[in-house]
Amino acid sequence: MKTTRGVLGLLGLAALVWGLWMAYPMTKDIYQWFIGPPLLDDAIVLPVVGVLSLGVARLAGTAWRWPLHFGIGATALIVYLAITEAWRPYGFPPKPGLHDRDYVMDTLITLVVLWAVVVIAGLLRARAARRRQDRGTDPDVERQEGALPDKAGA
Amino acid sequence: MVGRKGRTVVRRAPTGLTKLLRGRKDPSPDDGSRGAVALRVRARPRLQDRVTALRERVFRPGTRLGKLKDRADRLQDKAFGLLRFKSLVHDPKVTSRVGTWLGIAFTICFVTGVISHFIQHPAAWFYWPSRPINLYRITQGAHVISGVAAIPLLIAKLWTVYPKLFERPAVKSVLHALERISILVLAGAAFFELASGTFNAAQNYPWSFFFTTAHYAVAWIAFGSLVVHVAVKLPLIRESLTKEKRREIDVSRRAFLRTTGLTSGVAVLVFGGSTIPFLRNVSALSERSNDGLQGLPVNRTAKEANVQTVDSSWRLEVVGPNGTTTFSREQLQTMRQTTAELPIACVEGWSQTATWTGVPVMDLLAAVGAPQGASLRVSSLEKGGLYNSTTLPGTHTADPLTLLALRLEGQVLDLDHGYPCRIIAPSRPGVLQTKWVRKLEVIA
Repeated sequence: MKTTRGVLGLLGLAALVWGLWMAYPMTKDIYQWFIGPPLLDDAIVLPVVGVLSLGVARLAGTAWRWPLHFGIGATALIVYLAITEAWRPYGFPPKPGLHDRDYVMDTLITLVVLWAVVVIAGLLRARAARRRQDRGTDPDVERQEGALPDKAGA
Repeated sequence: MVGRKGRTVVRRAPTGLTKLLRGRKDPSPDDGSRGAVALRVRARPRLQDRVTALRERVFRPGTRLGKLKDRADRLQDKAFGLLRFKSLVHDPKVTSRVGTWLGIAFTICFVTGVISHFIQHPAAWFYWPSRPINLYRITQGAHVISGVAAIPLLIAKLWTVYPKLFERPAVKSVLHALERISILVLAGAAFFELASGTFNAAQNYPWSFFFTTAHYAVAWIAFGSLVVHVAVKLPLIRESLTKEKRREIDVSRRAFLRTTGLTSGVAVLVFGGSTIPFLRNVSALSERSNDGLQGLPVNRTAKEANVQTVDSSWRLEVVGPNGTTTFSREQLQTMRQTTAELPIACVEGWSQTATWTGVPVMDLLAAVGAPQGASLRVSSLEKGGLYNSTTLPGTHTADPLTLLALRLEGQVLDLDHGYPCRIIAPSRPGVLQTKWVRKLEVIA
């Protein structure tokens, strides 16, 4: 284990130093990336994730919790990727066969399909939870199966 | 003894570390323990003690700074009291699993990116085969897809370790400080790679720095700091991934892992249609549509390349060992024609197969008396641009499927696709498939 860690550490350091050496001439253009995005992530993105996660845990039943988490996470990701294609003040003009789709419309359709899947998954899980409750299953078992609240939150 | 300012200075006997730095032999300690162990035990607490003593001296109770620190501590306690991370996902077992997936995604990205870099800027030792014909298409497709899939993995990974940001003391030792700095470097480099990569793939690039150079350099920083991070955390990772610990992953944690995996799947689904044929009509954010000229997208138009028209006076120059030979388009058409289905695979991740017809480059080499497998410099009618001149290595010139293409899908090449002729070779990046070819020079 010690040898593996040592070798990995040395290889990683070598790659890191090589990268820093190559990036050195661009320092003034890229140094902000090592401060700004991690700060933005820790100060805004992750707190927003925490608040949303807490909100979902408080407001939604257990059956709906993970479908909603998935829906929110996937929506954020799709919106980010859509920005790269749809908002193009710095982009090349669309070319024949490239970047020439109606990305706003396609994104909206994708989000509608995504949330339809979320709703269907939530309804199915809620129905399964109700059936288990009707059968009078042991609450501990239900907790194990995700039908009753556990300690998930922020 | 008394120092310069009248303070008492205690000179300590040289420790193992100072002796080591001075290059002297460290005699074995009297207690029989090994020198290295004694060195570690002695060296660490001393540095930490010094830091603690310095802190106590600066923030002495009752002084202005001391009171300020007390107030800051109380405020911090109050703020941290509000932050209660109760979720079960903030757990090394979850972190290790998400981290493993992220590590795999980053490794695929790094390896395929380095391959693409060396194909475009080949070192003397580098070899890239021309078969299978889809090899570059697969590696570059994997590069972009694993990069997009890594976005939710990175956020999920950072979320699982978020409480660590509020741990106190913020810095426990010098090593701990170095570890935290390395994580900052890793996070910054990872964000840089993913953001610059996705915007570049969309050909929508808002930054002033040159993408290729910066993305390549920071990739080494990201991968290097990732490997260092793995080295530091290896015992914890190994422990968290044991069978026993895996069995301890309960419903909440499993659901979190599943949600993260599904979100990565969504990323692949909405973006992957650029390169995965069966996702073409599903991917909303695929770069390419089906509306390209002659059924194929155009990445660089003739207008962009400032190639207005090519008239009948155009001649292809082939510089061989016996001098220069010229060919008109009609002469090229009378030579043996090969038709092949070959992919155009762009560095931005999109790819598409098309049917190309043209003269095998090996026939042209033979026509000018050049040896088989000679490398060629290919020059374009395009005056500017980074890729107006490219090198076609011997591995590719010797491949019978490397063509000087005259037709696409049975039709004469459109000007935007490189009329009067272009290079199309198997397993090559699109930027190196030179269009509007003017001259071929045998260089080796």
